[in-house]
Amino acid sequence: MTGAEGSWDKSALSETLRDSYGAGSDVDMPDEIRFLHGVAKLGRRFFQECEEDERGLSMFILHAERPGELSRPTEYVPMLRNGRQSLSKRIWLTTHRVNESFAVDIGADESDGDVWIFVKDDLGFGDLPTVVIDSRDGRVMYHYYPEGLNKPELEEGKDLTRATIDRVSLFEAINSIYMDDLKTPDAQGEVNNVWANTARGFPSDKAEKFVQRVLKIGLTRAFPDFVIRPEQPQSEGRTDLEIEQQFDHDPTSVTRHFILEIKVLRGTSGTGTTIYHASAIEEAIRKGLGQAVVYRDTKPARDAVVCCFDMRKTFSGMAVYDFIRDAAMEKGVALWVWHLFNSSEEMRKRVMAGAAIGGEQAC
Amino acid sequence: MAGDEDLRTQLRALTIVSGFESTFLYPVPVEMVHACSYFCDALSSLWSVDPIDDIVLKSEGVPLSPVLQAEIDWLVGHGLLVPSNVAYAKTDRQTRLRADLALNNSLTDRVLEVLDEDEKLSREMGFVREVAAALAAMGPGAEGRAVSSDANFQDPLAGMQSVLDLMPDEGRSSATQSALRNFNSLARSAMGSDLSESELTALYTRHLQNLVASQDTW
Repeated sequence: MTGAEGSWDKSALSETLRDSYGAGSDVDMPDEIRFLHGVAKLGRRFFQECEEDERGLSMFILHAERPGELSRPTEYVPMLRNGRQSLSKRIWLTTHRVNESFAVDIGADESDGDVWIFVKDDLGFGDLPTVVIDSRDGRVMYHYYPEGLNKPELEEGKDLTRATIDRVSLFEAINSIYMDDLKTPDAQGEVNNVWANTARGFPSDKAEKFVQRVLKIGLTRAFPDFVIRPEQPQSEGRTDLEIEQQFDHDPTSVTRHFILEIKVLRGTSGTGTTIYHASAIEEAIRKGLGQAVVYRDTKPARDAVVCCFDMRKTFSGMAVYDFIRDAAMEKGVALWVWHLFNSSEEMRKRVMAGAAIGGEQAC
Repeated sequence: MAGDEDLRTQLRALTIVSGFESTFLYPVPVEMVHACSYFCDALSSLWSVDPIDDIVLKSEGVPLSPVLQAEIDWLVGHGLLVPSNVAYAKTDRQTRLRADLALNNSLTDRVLEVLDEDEKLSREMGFVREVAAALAAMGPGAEGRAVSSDANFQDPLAGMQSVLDLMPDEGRSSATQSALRNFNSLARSAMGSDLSESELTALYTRHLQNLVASQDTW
């Protein structure tokens, strides 16, 4: 049976692909991150193209239930993403998919303070994840309140019109993710982390998957208007993470900003029965560099980084790259490394010995 | 005692209803549950899962699965699903009971939690929930238009009252499978990327949403 004609022909599908590229890439992420990602993408597209009189304040609140009686009229908008609604000067109560929504108008004479008070006091939604998009003054900024307007000290904000990510921003983002979610078993959480046996320092077989997932979530939060895609199959093999952005002026084109080649360096297997010597570690890193170069050049991507997460008890920092540093520099690939401690105690010992905790980088 | 197939179908029903729980269309109309199950079956080859109904009669309205309805009735009878807004629905040929369905969370939360711990089941449940959420976004009462807009139902080679094979033998494709392949080849040539199962599912349901929305402007 062949494909249907008309509404399902290739030109119709092409239009959907152009408008919805990246959809579904975040389904394995927490609802709050999907919400942020969805609002950022929607907001970026709308406010970069809207008329001047449509600019203003818009607020999106993650509210996954049909709202009850409110003090103002609401409008049910089942498909916010189809671009037929003005986003501006409205409060949007929406789900993590940022499609089905209820809209509440912001009055023309209302100040920002009035809106905040209305949301926190009248609606009682001050504890719900909220994204404010401010498209006034010639910019489009988003402000993410992960625990709601009641906790403004947690606000994270960025410019939605930026067109690129540089190495400095990316390193800082990964370092922040490392400090919050990776550096020790406590940071990673009790279950299904990178360790098969923390006491003995035996890494899990699934350590790469865990690190990749944590990075994907963290990078989506840090760069919500970009698409973070894992393991894209190619004839050359599989990349680890790609950071992409759809061209706003040419939605059929995608810019790949970074290829991240993620390597977990192990001293032993998960049961401790196999010991990995320096030569095996070097081979893994050499392979990572080769993969980063090939994928950057064939995809293509603007830049490539080898990110190593060293799970061995003794951390040598950037010395782990000594045998390959010149080659990486010649190829234009950045080398970054972090230490995964098998306990908070081990991390404290390192601090007491005068070491700084965090990533190290070359190139 | 329920066999494996019955349990699979019960899980499908519970997962669909749980998918609607985080949307505004909840409790979910039973017709929407059937529509969702149809789309999950149409997309099942993408996810390498077995469909509940691999053969569907192309007719007006939402294909109602007797197999699924039997397990929904069982779940209602055993208190795992809670019906509301119960009424008679008449078609040309019959009158049937219809209802909106919600989970009895005190019984289902733990069941779904345990099932979610199995990697394979969790993957399938995630896929089903995404389809449910996409359908919810089309708004109440849109299930009929969603089904009629589907690639299989739009295929001019399959007339009304013909049988749709959602899982044809090797060498042949359903209209849905062809559409998914086309999405992937378009992505590969335009953007240099292959798409994951989640992305293809999202594009398929977005395309459906666009088709349903375009009918609203007529």
